[in-house]
Amino acid sequence: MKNKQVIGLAACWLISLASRAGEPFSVVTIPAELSAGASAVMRIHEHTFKVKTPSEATETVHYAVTILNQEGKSYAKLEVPYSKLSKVSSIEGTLFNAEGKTVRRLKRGDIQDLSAISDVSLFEDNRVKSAGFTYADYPFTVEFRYEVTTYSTMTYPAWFPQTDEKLALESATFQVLLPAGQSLRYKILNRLPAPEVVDGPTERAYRWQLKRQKVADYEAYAPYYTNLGPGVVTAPKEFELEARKGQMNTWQDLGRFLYQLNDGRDQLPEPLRRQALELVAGETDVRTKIQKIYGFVQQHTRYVSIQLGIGGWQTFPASVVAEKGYGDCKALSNYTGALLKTVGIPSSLALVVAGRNTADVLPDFPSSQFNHMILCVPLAKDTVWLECTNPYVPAGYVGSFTGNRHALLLTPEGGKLVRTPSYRPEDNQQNRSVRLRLDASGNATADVRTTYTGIQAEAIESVMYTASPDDQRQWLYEQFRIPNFTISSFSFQEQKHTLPTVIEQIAIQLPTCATRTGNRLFFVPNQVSSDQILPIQYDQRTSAFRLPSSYLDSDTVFCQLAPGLGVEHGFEPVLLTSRFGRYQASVQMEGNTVKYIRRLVIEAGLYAPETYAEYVDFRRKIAKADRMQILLKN
Amino acid sequence: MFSLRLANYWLTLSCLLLSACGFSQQLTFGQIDYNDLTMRMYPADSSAEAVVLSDIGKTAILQNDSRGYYAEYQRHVRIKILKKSAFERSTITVPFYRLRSDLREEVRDIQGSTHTLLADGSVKVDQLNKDAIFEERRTEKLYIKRFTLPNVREGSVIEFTYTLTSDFVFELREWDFQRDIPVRWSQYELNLIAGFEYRILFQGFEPLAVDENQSSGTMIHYRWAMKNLVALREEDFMATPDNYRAKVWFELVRTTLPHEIGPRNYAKKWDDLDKLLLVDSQFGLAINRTGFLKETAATLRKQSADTLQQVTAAYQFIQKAMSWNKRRAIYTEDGLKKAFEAKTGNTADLNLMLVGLLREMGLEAFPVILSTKQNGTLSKEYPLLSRFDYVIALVNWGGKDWLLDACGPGLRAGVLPVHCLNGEGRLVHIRHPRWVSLSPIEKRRESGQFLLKITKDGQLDGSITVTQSGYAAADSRQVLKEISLEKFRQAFKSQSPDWQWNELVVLNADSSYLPLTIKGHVTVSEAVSRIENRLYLRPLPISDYAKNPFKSPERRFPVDMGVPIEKVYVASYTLPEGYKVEEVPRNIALALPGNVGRFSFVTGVEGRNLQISSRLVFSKAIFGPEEYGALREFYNQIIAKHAEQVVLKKTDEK
Repeated sequence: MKNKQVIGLAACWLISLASRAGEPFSVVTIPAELSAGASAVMRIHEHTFKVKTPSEATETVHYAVTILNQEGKSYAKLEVPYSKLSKVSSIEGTLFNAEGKTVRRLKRGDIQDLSAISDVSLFEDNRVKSAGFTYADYPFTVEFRYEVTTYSTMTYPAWFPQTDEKLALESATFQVLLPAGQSLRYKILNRLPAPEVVDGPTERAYRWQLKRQKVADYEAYAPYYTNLGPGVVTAPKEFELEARKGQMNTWQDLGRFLYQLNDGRDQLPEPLRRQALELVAGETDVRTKIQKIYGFVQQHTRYVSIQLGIGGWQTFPASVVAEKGYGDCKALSNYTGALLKTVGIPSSLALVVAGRNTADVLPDFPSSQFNHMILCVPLAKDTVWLECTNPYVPAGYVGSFTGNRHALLLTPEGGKLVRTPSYRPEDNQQNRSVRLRLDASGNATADVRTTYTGIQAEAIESVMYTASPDDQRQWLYEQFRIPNFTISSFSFQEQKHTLPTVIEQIAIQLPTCATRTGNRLFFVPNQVSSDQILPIQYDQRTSAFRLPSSYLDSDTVFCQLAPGLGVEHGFEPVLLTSRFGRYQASVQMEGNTVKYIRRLVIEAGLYAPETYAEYVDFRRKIAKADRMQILLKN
Repeated sequence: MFSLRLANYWLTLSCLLLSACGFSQQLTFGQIDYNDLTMRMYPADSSAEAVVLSDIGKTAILQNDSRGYYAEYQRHVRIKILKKSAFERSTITVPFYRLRSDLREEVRDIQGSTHTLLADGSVKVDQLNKDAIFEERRTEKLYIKRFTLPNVREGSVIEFTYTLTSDFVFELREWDFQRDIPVRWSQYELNLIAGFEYRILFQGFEPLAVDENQSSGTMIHYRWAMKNLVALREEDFMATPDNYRAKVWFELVRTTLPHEIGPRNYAKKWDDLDKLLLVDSQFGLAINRTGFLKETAATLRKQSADTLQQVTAAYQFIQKAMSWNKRRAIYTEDGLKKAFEAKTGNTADLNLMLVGLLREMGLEAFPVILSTKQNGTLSKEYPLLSRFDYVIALVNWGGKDWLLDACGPGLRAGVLPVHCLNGEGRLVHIRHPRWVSLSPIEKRRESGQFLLKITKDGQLDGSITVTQSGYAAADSRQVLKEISLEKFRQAFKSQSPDWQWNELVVLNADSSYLPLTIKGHVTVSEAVSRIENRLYLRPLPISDYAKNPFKSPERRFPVDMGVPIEKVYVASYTLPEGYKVEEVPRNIALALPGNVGRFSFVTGVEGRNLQISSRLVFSKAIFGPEEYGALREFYNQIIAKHAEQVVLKKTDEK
């Protein structure tokens, strides 16, 4: 008993010493449960967004983070992005050692002003103020404070204080201050507690708090927002962008504003109008007309990123694209729309969040979440979507880049949130036929012909169009998990179709394709399409998981055996079914030929966490079935 | 690979005759050869997405009253665009620097146009307008001019010119003849005025089509050109493609300028460079300012009387006290004391500090400068400081050089990280400088021991011990520094997803002196397939030899594996009751020519015990293109051997 007391006292004494010295960032005060597994701990994080006038807001950020080891190094650096519509008014920083004593303060000269332009972009207004400390005596703490004034109120901040899986959090607050009488639109994600709302004489405050968050591991295939941790997205009801007023209560409001911003920028020079009309002259089918116009755009323009103009939301006039032959996604969509209008086909600009595995917009929270523009052409029965920055794909194909997600149509009546096409397994095929000749010593040659369609054709299409033959060959070598093989020849051929379609033909040599032991040969009939990469296992999966696209793989292998070789043992047909799809494999003898058939269907979707183990098991069984061998004898 | 010419103004008269007959290629802006417009495919490389038709650079050192000496670079480029994938090449970026008002660069006279042959046979010409030219401030000092050419289509020829003037006359820009697309003609002209003497260095495998120089008045004029250059592409197992690129660069040797008294020498011989470095406040002098390490030195000295242990203690001290900021340099950034206070610094900060610490301890230690693999091959013939990007520490003891790099974690003292193993380094010393070999003295070693029981229902059950040492252990330790032990174990487990681990421990993760061991118990439920009364299994439960790392049948450049490899796996199986070995893969021993690589595979059966061992050893890491075929075939055979099967047969069913 006595001993315990002494220890207790000592601990008290340590704590009081730290607090008496006024050193709040001493490392000793971090609770052990927070530093466990963390590379940095956010000690305090205060983020305030204050709307001053309909056209001006300030954002004040103050935080202190203790960096425990080298992996947390990036927190010693601060980057504050800004643009033509915003101004960074002050940056302060202090470095504390493990005891919480000040080591250094940021000087004016330590703050760099850098361009935040991406390398693919021709020109953008985006810049970044960058500052930080070079220090590596772990653990240590950095504290930063800065203020940004924004001269546009179209975008309110999103607050996710713990997006990093190696960051623990002691205490964080987020405040939005609005002039009295106004109210905030917000959406809470990942179990952030509800805000406290306080009405003062001149303003209303919304206040969120988050305390004592341990590190949380990311899980593979989790939906985008899940891995961001608890947080909130906010948006205005009314806003201003470069002296233009808009509303954002509904998608219709936001869409109307953006429609008006881009309206009337579709005049084309007369010769081009005539060219467009000539192009479709005599054509009655509207789809063919669209294809011709789209083909013309693909032939005569190229994508160049130029992020300028009204906060990056207004397109260049169509006439500029006509003159220069290039434009960004807005300019090219608008230009294509202008050409279609010329030939009497109405269309609408549509905003999306583009990217293969990115977040979709939050459909129940109208706000400016988009990063890309495409064109939507409504027809009598269905709709044609045009990705105007891609020079290769067939008209109407949006694929994994913008397919299967929400899009905001900009129409004279306002915005309409609709869905872009999603693709079924039959759309995304890998259809393979292998003719293999096996000699008595186990060497083989094979001709492999594969037709790829839809999303499964995307990677190969890009290799076909952009890589040199050397790189194509190299790429092919990476694609197959065959232990030893040499590609003797290969070719790619594009097929005209409504979906991207590529036929790949390869001739390969497979030395010791079947391995001999004594007078037996072991032969795996699925040499080419074997899928052996398994998903990571978790002891306890907590988040839902997403299979992004559906697909269908089918293989037929005709293996011609050398004279004298016979099958001693094949295998029983395999049939695996699960909620994620279906797998079949079988082998049979046809004269001197072994015929192997395999078919795999995967269904895209968002699946519950408790089904993850089932998914791993499904893939594991497929991997095993793909390795099944038959026994040959002579 | 290298050749040298001294650009000496006084030596050129004799060359006059030679050069008078060289043919000259002058191009007028806007006059495009009709054949280049009709070209649909580049005959020499039918796959090329674009071809540099001509790339002509003209550089002169000039002088005027307001600016003093400055360099003027003129560039005139024509590129044929053959495929859509090359459209990005019509956006041109020109980086330039503004340090101070009297030390700056400027880009001016940008002109550009796109020439496209139309279906009716006419040629459409689109000019580059001012509104498509942007200037971007990338950092405080680095600026970028960026412009994009209009209306580029498949088949277009784009053309542009610009002039860049620069106050940095002491550092002339280099000229790359070769690019990642084929180049039909690349020409570089250099006009020097009296007073500037440069060393001119060539690199690459391509011959010069034009090589001339002539003088007129006080000027000297050079012209070099190469033609029909193939595209240079990066390959696997290649340190840097820049090692093979055809290019020319310039190193200032001497200036003899009117306002200076007598000629002023820039680096000359290696000895001069040594001296220059030793009096440099960011190099030699910095090593002398290590008073702040005195106490540490005294403490470390007391720990052991053994010199090697003292060296190790100093090496470990710096490794522990400092963290490397991943920057490679031979000069310290803000001095050693400041780096020590910040606990971080570049290579020079860490390793010069190590030299200083060793000296404070009374040991003879020296800095050794080198060029890392990524920085390219060093030429000993031409003393150039700018070719070095790294410095390490050296202690000679017991007749042996101990090379120390405090930036390379996880390796024992005396073993250098892979990026340092690039030819030779230069020991910088006032009286006894010398070249030091940077060959690997350690290997990438991994051994696996498998004690497994085969059950009747085709399951493997037992213990696995993987022991890594040398570079293999260092690599794992590096990973362990970046991810948690838990993640490391997870990653190890996911290498063989079929294995069910009952236990998995990692031993000696922190020590660089003991091998790193990963061991545990596994159950592999599907390793053995049963067909009727026989069981079949692969000889070793490893995935290392599942695929040949050398895929292409041919190779143009050397293969650099970094360091030599040694891999030894031994499996000992207990057969299930009632089974005996029917077939095992035959023993083999293979060797590469010159015994630089050896592989052996041996099996042995004793009662119910089956033993299989596989051993692969290399004695070198770099293989020439002529050795490539043998190396690939060597791997083919190793992989084929590991794919063979062991057959077990039930004994009671004869």
